[in-house]
Amino acid sequence: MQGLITNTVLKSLCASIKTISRILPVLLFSLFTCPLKADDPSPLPIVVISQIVQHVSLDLEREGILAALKDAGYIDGQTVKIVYENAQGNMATSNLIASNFASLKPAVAVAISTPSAQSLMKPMAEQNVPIVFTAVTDPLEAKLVTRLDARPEAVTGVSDALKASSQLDLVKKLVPSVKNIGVVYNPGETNSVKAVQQLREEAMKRGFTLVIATADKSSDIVSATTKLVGKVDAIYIPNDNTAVAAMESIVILGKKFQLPIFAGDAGSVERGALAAQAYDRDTLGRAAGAKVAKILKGEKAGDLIVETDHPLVLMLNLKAAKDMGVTIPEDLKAQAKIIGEKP
Amino acid sequence: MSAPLNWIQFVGAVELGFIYSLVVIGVYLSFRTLQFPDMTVDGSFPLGAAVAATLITGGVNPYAATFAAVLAGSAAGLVTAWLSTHLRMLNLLAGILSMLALYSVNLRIMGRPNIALLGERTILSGWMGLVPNSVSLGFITLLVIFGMYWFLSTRLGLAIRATGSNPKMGRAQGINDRRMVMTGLSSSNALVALGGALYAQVHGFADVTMGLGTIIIGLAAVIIGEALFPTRTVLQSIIACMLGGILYFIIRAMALNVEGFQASDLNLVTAILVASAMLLPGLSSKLRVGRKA
Repeated sequence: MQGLITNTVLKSLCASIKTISRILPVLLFSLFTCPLKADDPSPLPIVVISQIVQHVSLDLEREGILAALKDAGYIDGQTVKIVYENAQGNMATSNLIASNFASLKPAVAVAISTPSAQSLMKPMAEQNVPIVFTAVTDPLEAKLVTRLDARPEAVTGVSDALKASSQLDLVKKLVPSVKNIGVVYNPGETNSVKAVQQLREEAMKRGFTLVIATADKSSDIVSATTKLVGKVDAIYIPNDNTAVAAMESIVILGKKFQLPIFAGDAGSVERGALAAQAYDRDTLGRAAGAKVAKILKGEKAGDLIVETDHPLVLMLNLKAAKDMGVTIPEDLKAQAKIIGEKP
Repeated sequence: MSAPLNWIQFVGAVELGFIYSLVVIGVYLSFRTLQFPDMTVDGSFPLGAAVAATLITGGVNPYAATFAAVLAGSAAGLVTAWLSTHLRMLNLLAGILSMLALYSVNLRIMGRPNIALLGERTILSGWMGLVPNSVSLGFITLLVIFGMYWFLSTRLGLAIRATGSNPKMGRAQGINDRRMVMTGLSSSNALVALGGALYAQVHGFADVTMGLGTIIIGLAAVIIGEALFPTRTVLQSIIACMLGGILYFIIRAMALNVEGFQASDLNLVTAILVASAMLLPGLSSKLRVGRKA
């Protein structure tokens, strides 16, 4: 009886494998004969957007770009065709996206992040397509541009480098007795390495000491942060994808050990960090979008300056202040965007 | 129906295919010839890029920098082989450990996570700059293929193949199988690092995270190549690997073109592709049996 059942099961399994193997080629064939994106003859100017990974700040930048384009009268499907691809963190995919984009002969190519911009550089230069980048911290070192003002190459954009001085000043204002500031980041992220380098220089000028703790992955962030307890008076988390991903666990440590946690991005304050002197990602995206619109209207990318200075927004989390034992001066409260109810 | 790929996309995919066929041939050497699934490649690919990019930005001649990258890759392979043969570590684990260590090593070599090479002198900007990149990359790949074919036909190469197919028999014939694993893995990773060095020079940057998924590309391409092209001789097998690599990138580029498909779906495409490639040989033999009956 049992043998019979096994036999039937085996037979039906074999049959289903046969069906699948018959269907598969058909499936694969239909995949490649589906409506295609590439050779779509579009009378509208094409704007391509390449993004390295899905991420709240990067997504906000992209939405800002689209909003700025809309404000300038460029609406997807009506006055412009927008094609967006995300490499999901894979460099080889980012290059494939770049050559796919080059074949669309776009009017402007937009890169969100440094690796996306680097992948677009060669294919776009070959097709004479101007590039607008955003979410790039150091466009000079990434060799995207040779200078920030009028350039020979058709590349421009928005740099999101945070001024280290304003970050340290905020720490000093909220923790006047500060001597040692801990920094947690991933040494594998270009933006963070650059930020920490500048922080170190500025800290030296002010007589602070920077205590570094590094982690390669978000699961190591907790142990890195714990290492700082007892050695520092405050912790600063730069715009580091790895550390920001583990923000909640850093906040728990901050509460437990009465350590004020500062951040470089607004989202972290909403997630429980004490304060941030941060960029509004939407504003940065809009600035990049405005450049795209200008190029669509006929301006040369090389003539548009690379923007580095943007207004900063002070974000304060009052609940975190109470939990981390920090008294916030009233004048700061007045000019800040407050998160969390009054204590 | 419009063409699934236009010329620019096709050339872009072929360029990536040529660069990665060095990886694929390296994976073929470890995975097929030595029966050693070597995860080191996820680390030795960016290692090659890191060494080449650091030296080139430091003013070293690009040919010398590329050669140094190859040497670094072979050293990485030796470490994995040593872990496996001398410390008797499971081969998968040995590779994973090297890959893990190489991430830190690569960061140390570069001193930062990303080095841009745009505008620097590379091996593709000298006399090779006179022809399109795809032609010079194809030329390099062909050189590697014939070098590999020659290598596997020497006494040493034959000994490596014997070790892979039957280590006990090899030992009985007086082959030092530990040395064969070391030679095989160091040449395999040297090829992978050469691929990384070329990638950095062609695409203009080295990034510490660029190795992610290299082993998957290698294995997928080996399997696709073996399923679709004849592999009766060693030369045929190596050529099948190269074609598998190119085909892999062409199919991924095509999948990106399909309306409704996103880059995040590409991993699924790869999985289906490899699975169906593995079904193919069984299917065709079954059909043959069916015809006889």
